[in-house]
Amino acid sequence: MNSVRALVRAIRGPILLITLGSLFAVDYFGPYPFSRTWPILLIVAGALWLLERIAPASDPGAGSPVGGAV
Amino acid sequence: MRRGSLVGPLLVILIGVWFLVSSLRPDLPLFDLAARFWPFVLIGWGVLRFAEILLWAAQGRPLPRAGVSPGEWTLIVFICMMGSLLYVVNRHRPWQNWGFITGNRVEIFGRPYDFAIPEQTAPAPKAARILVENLRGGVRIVGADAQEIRVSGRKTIRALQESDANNAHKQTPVEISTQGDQTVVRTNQDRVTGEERISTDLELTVPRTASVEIRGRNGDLDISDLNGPVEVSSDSASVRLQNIASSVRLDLRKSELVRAGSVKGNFELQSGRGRDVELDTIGGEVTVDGSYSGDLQFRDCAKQLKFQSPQTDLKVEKLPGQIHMDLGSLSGSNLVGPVRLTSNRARDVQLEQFTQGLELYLDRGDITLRPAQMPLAKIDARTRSGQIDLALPGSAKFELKATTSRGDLNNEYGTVLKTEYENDRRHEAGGSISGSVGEGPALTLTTDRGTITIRKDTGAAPPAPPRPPKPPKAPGVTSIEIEQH
Repeated sequence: MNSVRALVRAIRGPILLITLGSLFAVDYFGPYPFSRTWPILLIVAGALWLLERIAPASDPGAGSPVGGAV
Repeated sequence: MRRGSLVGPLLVILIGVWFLVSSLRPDLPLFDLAARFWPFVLIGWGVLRFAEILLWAAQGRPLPRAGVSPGEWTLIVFICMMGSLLYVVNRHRPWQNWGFITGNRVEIFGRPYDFAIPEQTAPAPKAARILVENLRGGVRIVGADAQEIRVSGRKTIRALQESDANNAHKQTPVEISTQGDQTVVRTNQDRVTGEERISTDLELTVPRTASVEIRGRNGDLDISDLNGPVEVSSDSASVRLQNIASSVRLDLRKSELVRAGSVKGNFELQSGRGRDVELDTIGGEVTVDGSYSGDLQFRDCAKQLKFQSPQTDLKVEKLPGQIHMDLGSLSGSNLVGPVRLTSNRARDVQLEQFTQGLELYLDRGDITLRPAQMPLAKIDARTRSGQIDLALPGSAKFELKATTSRGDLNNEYGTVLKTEYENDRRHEAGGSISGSVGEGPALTLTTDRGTITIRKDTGAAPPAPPRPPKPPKAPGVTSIEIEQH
């Protein structure tokens, strides 16, 4: 069974990958060079990390992963 | 139980398709596409994996510990580095013909094999039209007092093995065919079935009266001693023309050098990206269109000369003298106007001995004018930023209005012309020189920022060398530099 935390951890890679691709695309087709936009990667990585920390921890054996039983 | 991702197989399919298309359609700019659009592969990869994970989560399947594994990240870093490298290489392309860039392994591993093209002749009518189709390689055409076309030359075939080269040589014979009054000389390079790279250098001797048309993609052209018109279209060629008694039309996407001497008819040059142009003794109208990064020289043009580039427009009615132009300057002497010049690139302009009036608009750059002795014609010269220096013949009659919005004024005519400053304490604040000397044409000089100097031309002496910039005046000094003559 999956917890929200596991989900956030799993989608962290794909989201970082999308961000990375988008920054290169903006470099080639948009107004901002990658040398100026790269900190966005750090911000996104940090935000996802934060999200993982505050997401409900895994509760093995519990029925519903979301919300959990209080 | 965890099912693997779909991204890996899809990526492999994409790469396979790319290589397949690039080998089936070598004309498509696939390298260019890959260099520019590779980031979208990353985005697509990320989106697919993201959707997969959401789907797995919704189905309650176990999720991977990391959405993108360390191994995949290594691949991504590699793709980023290769992609950036490709992008830089593609944008600058200093080595456009390198084999591994265009995907032609013959260029890297192949060797050149030379073949002589035995001389062929074909009878030609007096007013023959000759069409030369040669994709790659140079063409040299000389007009002669003959009634036949003679073709010879040399073929260089780059191939992996000698047998391949021999085969390609047989597949691509140089042919002369005649249809009516048109004679076609074809090198048939497109007939080769392998990936050998062929370059054919042709030497043609044709009847002097013939008209010539050359079509090619890459190769230098040398044409001389013809009475008929010449027409050239090529993707990349340097062209030399000498002694053409009729008109010339050149349509080149890229050219290192275009040199023409003694052309009696109209001369028309269109170039996407050119470098140097030298035209000397042109009897007809000259039209030069395109963007040029080198030196342009026009000398002795008997009729109208029109030059047009994205940055500069120039029109001269006749050019007994010469004009020299490069990226930062334009100088001309002995021009018959009205001369019209507009430039929105920073450019210093120096014109001597021009008649029939001048219209000159510069975005940035200094203007130095020394009109012909007499009679003076209307002049309207403006620059947004730059000095204006006008030297007038001693006996000239004119009506002057010279204005600078920020800059000093130098008036050698003294009190005949009125010098007015916006601010008598600070001459840098601009002002104007105006007034009339006899009854004459209007001379209007305007600069938004820069010094204006009105001088008396002391005769046939060559123009003074560029003067060093004047030191700034001490504030409060209000003397006006006036030299009485």
